[in-house]
Amino acid sequence: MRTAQEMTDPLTPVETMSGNAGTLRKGLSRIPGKYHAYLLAPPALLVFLCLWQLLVMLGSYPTFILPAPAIVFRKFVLALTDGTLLHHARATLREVLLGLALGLSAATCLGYIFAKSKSMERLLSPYIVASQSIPIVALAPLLVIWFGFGTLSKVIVCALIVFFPVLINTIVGLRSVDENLVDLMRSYGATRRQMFTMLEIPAALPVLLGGLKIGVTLSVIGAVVGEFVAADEGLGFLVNLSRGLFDTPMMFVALFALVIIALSLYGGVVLLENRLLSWRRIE
Amino acid sequence: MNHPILTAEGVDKTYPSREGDVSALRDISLTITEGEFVSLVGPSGCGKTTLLRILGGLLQADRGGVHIDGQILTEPRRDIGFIFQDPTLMPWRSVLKNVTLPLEVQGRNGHEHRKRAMELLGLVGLLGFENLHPHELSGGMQQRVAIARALVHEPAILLMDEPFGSLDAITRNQMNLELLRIWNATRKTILMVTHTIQEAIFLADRVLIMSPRPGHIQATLEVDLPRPRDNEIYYNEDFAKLYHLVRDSIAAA
Repeated sequence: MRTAQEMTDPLTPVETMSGNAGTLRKGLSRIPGKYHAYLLAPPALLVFLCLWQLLVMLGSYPTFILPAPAIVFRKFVLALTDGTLLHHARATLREVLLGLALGLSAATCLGYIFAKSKSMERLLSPYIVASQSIPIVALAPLLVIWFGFGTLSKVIVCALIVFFPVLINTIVGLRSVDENLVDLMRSYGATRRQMFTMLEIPAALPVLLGGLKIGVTLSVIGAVVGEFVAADEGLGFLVNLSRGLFDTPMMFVALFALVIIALSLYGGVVLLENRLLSWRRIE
Repeated sequence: MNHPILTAEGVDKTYPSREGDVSALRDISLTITEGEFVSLVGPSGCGKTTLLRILGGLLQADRGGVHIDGQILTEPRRDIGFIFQDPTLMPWRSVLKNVTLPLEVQGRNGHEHRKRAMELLGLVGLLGFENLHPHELSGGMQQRVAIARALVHEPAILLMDEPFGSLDAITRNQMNLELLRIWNATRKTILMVTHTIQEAIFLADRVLIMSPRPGHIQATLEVDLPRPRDNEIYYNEDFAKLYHLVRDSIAAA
């Protein structure tokens, strides 16, 4: 733990890079040290693309097995300009966001009830664990029969897959609240509502956000699983369609789009975390 | 001045356990007058913390009753302040916001309350640290924040549960001196649980000695050492006598 005495000198320079040319150094010094690792991302991506190209050239694979990066890129530009990609991406994103909203609200509400009442947890948790032991892939066709071929069935698949990790994290987070702080709040005569907003939510927040990180990545999987069963739009549908047409470059494009959606959602949670938990950073 | 502010009569407390009921407190009676500093010493596990929680209304006694200012105590009251062994600060709140927490809960927000919190931070020697977060402070500084917080809503009574138990001996001695200074400035009624005999005598007007389980008040000792006190008092002959009395009393319990 750093004590306040050490904190009085916040301008200690952080040296992370060394041995670079003077100009590069000057440029880098304008970027805070903790972001330097991100600068390696573009060259790393370039290396990955080169290796991919090399693999295609050495193995001389036909395009329908492994398309070269350039072919995939051309397909990407094409799908982007004719609107195909945006149409399907929008459909998937809609399912993901609605599914997240549904899954998150159900999981946090039930998590709060379970954290407060052991008997409710004992009564209901067998059903929840049972529902989680059924593979979502096996459950999805049933959900499509019940909720139709449209967006709703995908939203529900998505919500179901998000539900469990968020539920568990909500329970763990709320139960980890310091008992002494609860006593302290009681001694001030805090109402139930104050206990919730001033103590329980902020105390559980780090664990809740951890659950959200798992949830947003799973939500993309949920939407694709739903689209695989029956759909007429969405990135999962696009993958399925392209497979039937042996259009492997388009499959790659759809997969990359899914990755971009998942990364953006995850990045959004990280930004939220940095904002809400800024007290944890030592500047 | 000799107005009894906190009284307990015939307080019993029993805890259920796997081997049947365990009696934690038996027939505890005590009276603390306004402005008095009372220490409560006893071996660990004698129910000191349980007693403090009952006196503060956080826990109900099985039998007997607690009165504050003549009123029976059934739930926590706002005129009682707590200081626990750990600073028990909210890590997501700044030092200042931790200190104003009691006021915020009681719906008293405003500029004059911020000023009051800053005054108290000055009293505990933490001016200039108000915007830091608890994890940026040392253990002793965190406990000072807890003291400032316990004083901010002007409780008449302070209940302290081994407040310096987790600090090293040097910091602890400093905090004892600080506490005396603060007590002098505010003249709160203080009941402090400790398991250090020296600390109990050094601070208090009166030392209550508790017996091991089931805990009850074994003896009461008046500390008639002169005030204001400083570290010199440890070399006082009367201090040594009192120390032996307390120790023998605990040994006999």
